[in-house]
Amino acid sequence: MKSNIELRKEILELVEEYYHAKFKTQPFQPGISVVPYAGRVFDERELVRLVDSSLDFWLTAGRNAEEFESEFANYLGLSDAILVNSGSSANLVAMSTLTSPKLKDRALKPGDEVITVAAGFPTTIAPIVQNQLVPVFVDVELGTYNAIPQQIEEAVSEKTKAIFIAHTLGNPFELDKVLEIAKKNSLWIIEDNCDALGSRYKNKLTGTFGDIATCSFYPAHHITMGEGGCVVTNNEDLARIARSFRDWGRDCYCGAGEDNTCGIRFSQKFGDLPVGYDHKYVYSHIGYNLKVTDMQAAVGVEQLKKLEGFVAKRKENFKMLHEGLMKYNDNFILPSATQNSDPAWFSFIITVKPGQKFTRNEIVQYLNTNKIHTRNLFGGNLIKQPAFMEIKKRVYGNLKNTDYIMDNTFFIGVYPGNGKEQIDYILEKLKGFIG
Amino acid sequence: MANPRKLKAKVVDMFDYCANVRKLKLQVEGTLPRFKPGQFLHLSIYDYDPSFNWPESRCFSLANAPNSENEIELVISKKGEYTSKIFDQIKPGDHVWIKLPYGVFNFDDSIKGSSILIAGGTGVSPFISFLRYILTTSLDPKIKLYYGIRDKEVFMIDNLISECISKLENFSYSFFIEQDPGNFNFNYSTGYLDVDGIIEESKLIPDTLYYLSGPPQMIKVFEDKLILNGIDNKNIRFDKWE
Repeated sequence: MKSNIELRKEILELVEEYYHAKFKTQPFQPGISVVPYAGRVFDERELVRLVDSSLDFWLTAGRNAEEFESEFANYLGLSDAILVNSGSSANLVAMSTLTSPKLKDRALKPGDEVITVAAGFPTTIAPIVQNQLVPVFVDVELGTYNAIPQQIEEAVSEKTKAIFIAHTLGNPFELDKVLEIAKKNSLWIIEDNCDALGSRYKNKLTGTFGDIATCSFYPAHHITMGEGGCVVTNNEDLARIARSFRDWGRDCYCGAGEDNTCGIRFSQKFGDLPVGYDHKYVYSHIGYNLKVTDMQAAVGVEQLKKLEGFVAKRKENFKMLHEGLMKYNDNFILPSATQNSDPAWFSFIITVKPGQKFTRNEIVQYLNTNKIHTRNLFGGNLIKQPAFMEIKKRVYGNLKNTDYIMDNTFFIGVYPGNGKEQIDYILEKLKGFIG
Repeated sequence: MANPRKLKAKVVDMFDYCANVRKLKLQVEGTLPRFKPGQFLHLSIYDYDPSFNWPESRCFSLANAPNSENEIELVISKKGEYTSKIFDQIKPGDHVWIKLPYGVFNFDDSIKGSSILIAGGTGVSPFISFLRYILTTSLDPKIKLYYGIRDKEVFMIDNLISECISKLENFSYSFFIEQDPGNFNFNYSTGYLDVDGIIEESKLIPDTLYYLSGPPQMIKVFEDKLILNGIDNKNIRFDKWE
């Protein structure tokens, strides 16, 4: 009988063979092949590692999660990376972390305000509401689609305690100015880096400027593990709190299958519990269970090795689109990188200028008919969404640009699965539409 | 606390200070996570299979400064069944499993102010890590090390102390040796760590941080006495495991 080691080797060799049989790249056929706005890009290495992890049958977070967290923190140059099951969960954990009583007078309390934008993804806002905090919406700039720093500054009130904004579609927000506002007013900064992994501002990676940041590994993002996300920070106190919120709210930091990592499991005193109450079941936060499985993390470990290559391809695709669309400057507002930034673009965002013979919906329908996938800038103006209409909120100004984006903006893909053939096809179709 | 890792490590060197105190030097396979002086690891002499739970292990303070050579030093005192197995079964060339880094006993605050380090026996390990770390920097915080040992054979920091004396202007020490060593390289007192004397001496320096590391009974005595003498709880840090 073969040993488990021999069998494992055979299985993994077969998996590699299976990958080539199943996922062979198909040639691009204009008009027949779809041009996705995003998607998973992988090879046999992800599949082999995924199956290898499944053969461990550890199931919950294990060796691969540990490796990913460590390598991801190293990539960002931060002390801690806390894997969770989605970018939205990362946002929830990051926001909740700042409400921890362990932060004493710096902890956010119900009714405190958090400055954000409405032109974005709902789960940047949802954790603010879920934590009984009050979102304060400021407008964004057309072209960069990022929060306008002057509006952030003017929106700060006595109740404002944090800024929670995204680097929209990979384009860094004006970090110098936002950091200055935060410093001046003692505000926390959460960087929603879900769409911007690999972006740089003044040669420094986004996600490393704020107190805490979040990333997403949904298939549409720069790297994927299917479902997955991460909270990152260089503040070890915040990291421990974030782990607690992720892991049921417990005080103990043992990983799955571990006991007494702290070495003082039965000799501490917490709350009104008796001395020595098992630390494994001591809860310091009202938490969640948002961990990943080790199989998700296994895919992430291989994807992370490819991140820089993926980012380079995104930039290349973006450049081709930008050069090809420059001649339509009268028709479109094309995306522009924030000054001093080097974005790892999530997508190519386009806004239809006023006075065109066509609407955003018409061009989007045309593109989709030609198998070119498009997306709107997520929720448009989120405060007009059913879920957000009745929430407690404050709106600074009139969100004029946000409304304009809701009506006139869409994006197309620059993801690494697309190449010159797909980009040329997009440009050809747009030329056919505009004339 | 940086992201902990479970790593295989090879025992590359061993040194016995006496029959029941041994230094182990490990070469880690894989990327050694960043650790801080004062932190600890778990060491298991059993193989770790990621399909199953982490095997039985024991906590040991890291006794070297963070480095880029993937090396770790530990000082192990034979105290029970598990540490006896470490002594009896592990030899150079063998592999062990470690997971690290853990613990909040670190010296982040002491870099800015004045610190009293009080160690009993192998409890000096985290202070070795700290002092070695300080020597790799341009820092020179005010540090006084009180170190009590049973006899001179287990005095494991000759070279380190000499280097601290020559390179750190603000470093000082007091050593207590239970059995009179006769000749010894440094000034010392015969007997036990003198808790009252230490308190009396250190009270002259306001906002001093007290770091305690050693047998649990020693830590308890020192903690109680420090608090009794009006030392603020938040200025007392200790490193102890069950």
